[in-house]
Amino acid sequence: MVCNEEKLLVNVLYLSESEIENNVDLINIDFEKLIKTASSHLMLPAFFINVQKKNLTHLFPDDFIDYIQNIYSINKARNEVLLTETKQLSELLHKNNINHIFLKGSALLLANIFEDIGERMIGDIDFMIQKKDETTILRTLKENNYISHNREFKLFKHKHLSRHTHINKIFAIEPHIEFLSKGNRNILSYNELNSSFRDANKQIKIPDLSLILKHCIYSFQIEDFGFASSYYSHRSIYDVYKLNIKDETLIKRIKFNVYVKSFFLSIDQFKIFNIKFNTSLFSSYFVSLFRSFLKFYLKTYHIFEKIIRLIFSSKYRNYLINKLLASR
Amino acid sequence: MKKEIKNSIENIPSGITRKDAIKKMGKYAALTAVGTFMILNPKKAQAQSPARPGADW
Repeated sequence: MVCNEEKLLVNVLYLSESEIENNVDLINIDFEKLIKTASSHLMLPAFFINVQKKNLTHLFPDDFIDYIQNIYSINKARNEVLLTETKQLSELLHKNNINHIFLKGSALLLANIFEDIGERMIGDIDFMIQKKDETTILRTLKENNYISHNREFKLFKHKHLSRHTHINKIFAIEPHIEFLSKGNRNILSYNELNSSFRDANKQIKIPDLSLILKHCIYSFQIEDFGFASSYYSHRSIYDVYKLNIKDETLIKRIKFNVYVKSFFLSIDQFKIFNIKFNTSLFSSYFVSLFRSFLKFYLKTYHIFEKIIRLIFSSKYRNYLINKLLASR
Repeated sequence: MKKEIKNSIENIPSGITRKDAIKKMGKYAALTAVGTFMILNPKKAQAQSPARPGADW
């Protein structure tokens, strides 16, 4: 059941000024709840931009507007720094002959899909490198005073190398070697960037919009457990919506597999995209069975993974012994 | 004890205390999801990837 405040959030983001009141009881809006909902989806800056663009400020208390404007301003300043740091990072990587392509939030910003630079909240700078450059990039980052934040030992290779930070920079960086975690790479593989990597152009590169769209959906559905939890993220929906405005053929061109279908089905209630599905009872039953299995697996796999690692990996056993000795 | 005193008088560069800063942001600051503040705070955003947007399950 979607609450009144979430309905207003959706209307403000996707409908025109005259349709804002559709299915929403404006008199009984709880503004505190609205802040909770919008902020949990990282949507306060986008909400502010749309309120302002659609001349809706009169519907909200002054202190509410002041607050979301503050959040928007801080985010905008941060994203301006992101663009500068992206440029600096790209120059550094080109100087060391490391071919790279920016992904996720930075790619969306670089592709100019938002009308305002402060609209999208972005945590870090993700970019893809070629597998042959793994050692070179780690050396380059170290030589340029980036600090590596090593993760706990993993049995399977992670989709990105360790997260790096720099004392004089705001954003952490994550050099990817794959889009998705192991087991899902047949859905969206690093190889889809081959043609972009062959391009010898030494400018800031991003994937084509259809690839950005696929990464956006799969990343939420698989990596953020959207599929397993049957939940949705307004940030991802808004990204897809904005990408679709830029090119209306993008959604039509995407392959409607179980993850994509589930993404659009979970937000069907909001009537943002006009998409029709053929979902038989039979296929819905198997999808829900698969989802339950996945949910159980995701909640328990770390226990099994640790046991298997302990039995089969001497490297992991040594890692644990060193960790134990260090803690003494 | 020392740590408590240090925290209570910790100043941000503009010269106001953390407590004053939160007061200035108003009642909505206390209701804002941690994920939003994590992204806006450079130190916290650097430390880890932002949490998954949306509700918990």
